[in-house]
Amino acid sequence: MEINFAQLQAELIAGDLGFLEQERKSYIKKFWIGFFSCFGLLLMVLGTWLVSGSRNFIPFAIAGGLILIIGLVFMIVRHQRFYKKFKAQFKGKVVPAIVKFVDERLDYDPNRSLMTEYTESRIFTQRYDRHRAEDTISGKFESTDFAFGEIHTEYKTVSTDSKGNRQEHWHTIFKGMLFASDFHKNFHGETMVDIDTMERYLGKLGRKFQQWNPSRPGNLVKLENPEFEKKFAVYSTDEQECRYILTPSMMERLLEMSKRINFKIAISFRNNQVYIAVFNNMDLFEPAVFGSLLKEEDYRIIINMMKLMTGIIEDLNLNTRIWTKE
Amino acid sequence: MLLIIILVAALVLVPLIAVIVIKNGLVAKENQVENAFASVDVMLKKRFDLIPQLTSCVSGYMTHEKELLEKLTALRSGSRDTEALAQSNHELKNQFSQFLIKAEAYPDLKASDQFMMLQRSMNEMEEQLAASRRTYNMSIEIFNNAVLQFPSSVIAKRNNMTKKEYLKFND
Repeated sequence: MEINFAQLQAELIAGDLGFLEQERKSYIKKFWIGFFSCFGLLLMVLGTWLVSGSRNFIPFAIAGGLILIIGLVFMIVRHQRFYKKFKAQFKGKVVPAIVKFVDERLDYDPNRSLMTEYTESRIFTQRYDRHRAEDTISGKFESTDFAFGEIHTEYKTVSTDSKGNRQEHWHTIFKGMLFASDFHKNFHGETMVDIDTMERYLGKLGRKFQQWNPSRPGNLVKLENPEFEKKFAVYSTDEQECRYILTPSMMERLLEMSKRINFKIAISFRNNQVYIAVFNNMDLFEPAVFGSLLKEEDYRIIINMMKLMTGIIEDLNLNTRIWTKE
Repeated sequence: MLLIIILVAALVLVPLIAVIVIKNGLVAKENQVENAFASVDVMLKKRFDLIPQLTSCVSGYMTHEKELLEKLTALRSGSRDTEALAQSNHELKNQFSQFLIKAEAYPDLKASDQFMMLQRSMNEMEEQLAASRRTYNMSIEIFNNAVLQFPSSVIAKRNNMTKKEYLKFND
């Protein structure tokens, strides 16, 4: 179904978005008033010093510093308070409306995290030291339960410079959307599908290296579809089961899906579920304070991503239940 | 002197180790083919075992299916010839599609849970069989490449290892 953005925008503006946009504009006005008041006071202090002809700048510098610090603290506290409320309203009212507009069967929960699914998928073997997981959309299309949500995981490294100063560095493991769904067939082992970079750049030598990948289960499996082989590297604990999952038509479907998604993806088949990690590096559901809430482009990106995610059910034919799994 | 001994040892040992490694690789690949074939066989038998259940589910009014069962029993000969397997598979599929066409005439039968479950199981078996056949053919490809490519082709020839046939089903 094609999305009518004009209709969506009209509905959103008539609903809570119009009110939120007014609140945002009013806050921005207050923000700039605060900013210029601070700036004006600083100018006044400077002007007074210049007019007075005093050689002692220290009292003026102290007064200027105080104005700067108090002004800054006040603005930060006010911004944080406003943003918390603004974000809660945006996620509580606007996003659910967009989600329902895309498909009535979808539910949005800004606080639900898919970290259990993240761990269960075993796509990421690097231990994470901090994470942020939120904005989950779930639903059931016919027989298939699914959910997708935003996840950002990072690990920490510590370095010490020549002066003995300890520095922490944070490195992203995954920032994007994780999709988890029932698979339409029963299976017992583990099958992982990674984007193939080694073989693409190093040819047969790359394939040799891939065989020794300790972060992946089982063995590297060679499949019959040359295009699929070129794009993906497949590891499985059971070669035959891997082919039971990755049928010729499923390989074609995965290729088509990866072309459509157009981001790096990694797929795992475990516990009768399929997990797809989409490395889109986006924060889709965060409202912008300093930009308009009515920009069509922002909604287009959110909706397109949602359609890509829900489209996976159809892309992978997950509702076809002609096998023993009901 | 020591250098000469090391050189001579290397000249003898390196080819010897290479031959052992290649020979072991070929044997492993051949075993892989055997193993994959055994899986195809298991799947064929499992699928075959489903047929009597399916026909017993409809017994009483489809005498034609009893004849089919007899035919299928004859096909289940445990042949290791790929062409014979392909032929029996083709016949089974033909008979089974005819069976399904006939079942269309009995809506009560088609709607019964048992029949539906058996049909799902049959589909499952078809997928499993296709997967095992693909695994078998891939192991054949890997083995055949080893048998035909130098230098393993030399060792394969000395050990009477020859190119194997793919398993082709008319799906």
